[in-house]
Amino acid sequence: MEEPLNLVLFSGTDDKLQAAAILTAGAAALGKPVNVFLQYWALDAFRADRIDTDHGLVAEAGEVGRQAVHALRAAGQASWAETLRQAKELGGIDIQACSLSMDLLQIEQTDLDPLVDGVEGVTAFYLNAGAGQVVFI
Amino acid sequence: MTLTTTPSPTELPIAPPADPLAQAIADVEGLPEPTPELATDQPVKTKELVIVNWSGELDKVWPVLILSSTAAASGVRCKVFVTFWGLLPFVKDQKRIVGDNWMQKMLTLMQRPGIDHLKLSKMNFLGMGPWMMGSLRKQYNVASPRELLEAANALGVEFIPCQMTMDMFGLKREDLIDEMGEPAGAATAIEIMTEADASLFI
Amino acid sequence: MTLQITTQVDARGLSCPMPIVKTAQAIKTIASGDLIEVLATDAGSVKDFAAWSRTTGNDLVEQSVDGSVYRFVLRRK
Repeated sequence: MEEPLNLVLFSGTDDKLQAAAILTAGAAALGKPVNVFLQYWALDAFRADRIDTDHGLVAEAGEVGRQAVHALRAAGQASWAETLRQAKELGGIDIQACSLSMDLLQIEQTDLDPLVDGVEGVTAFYLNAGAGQVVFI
Repeated sequence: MTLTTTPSPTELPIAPPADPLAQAIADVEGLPEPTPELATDQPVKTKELVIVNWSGELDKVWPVLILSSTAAASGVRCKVFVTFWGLLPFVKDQKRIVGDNWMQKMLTLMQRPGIDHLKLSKMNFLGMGPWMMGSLRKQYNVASPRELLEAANALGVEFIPCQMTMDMFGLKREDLIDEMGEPAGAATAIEIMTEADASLFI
Repeated sequence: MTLQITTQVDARGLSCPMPIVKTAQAIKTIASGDLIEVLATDAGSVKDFAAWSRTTGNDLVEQSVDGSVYRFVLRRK
């Protein structure tokens, strides 16, 4: 069994989530299993009622950076949520919400987008991660 | 129980050529090939570090350069995938206005590209922050991002620009510093990340 | 000799990583040994398809460029 790629998503801005979605989709296309663990602001962005809304960009983007990202979107780049949905069709992607963050943000699993497969603690995350790389975004 | 029946290997006399056929072959062919057991110098897999350089801020690019040049200096192969805001510091210095349309041009006017024009993520104070960092750096003899970049390059750190980001900023290969390698995308990033011994997203 | 292409992926205009994702989806629909043709305009796809081929074991049989369009032919493992 191939070692999975394990992504811990912490930041909830669209540019970080886009980078994470691209890495996830790339790994899935290569046939590598991917475990995604959603914490804090990234988890908040996966709420069903706001997953497809604007989550802003990191501060360094600036106003014109935002426009460059939107221009790329207008030119046909898929949103991070759409990229993840496409990637999930390839199989091998497991997206789990961090149980502690769920409590912190007072989110129920029913509040989350169907992209999220379940809720787990950090121990389960590390057990599933095995010897694979863990990348914090 | 007697110990004399099993003499230790060091006490064994040098074995006479017991097999006449083998002896004859050895005579004809000269020295025998080294046995596989003797050829223990199998290539030890070089350790590899991959860094995704996502942010373009001084206090993020700096550790990327410190870690990558240190890795390369320690015999760890290092590849840096340069993407999103992290690409602008790797645009040529003399390149002030890059991009195809007014928006991309305006963007780079506001965020001057190049390794010598980095901003801090916190306490930028309209450039005062980086200036103070620069003074502290000189005072404590820390290498500047430019020096580190040159060192990293000399040590063979591989910088891979992200094609999608180049498209976003309207950058061409020749707009980037010569040290950058061939542009690539996510599949390449994943390949190098999962094959590495450690990968960092900075 | 012309190659017998079983299926095609038109990824022109799509940005990273969609050309690779679409190809990975499409190659699942063909039999082992069959060929898939991909057209893409993403300049990063040249290195990416080589990396994808190495990692997945699907052979990159042919690759060419016509203006800004890259063409890849891959054989399913």
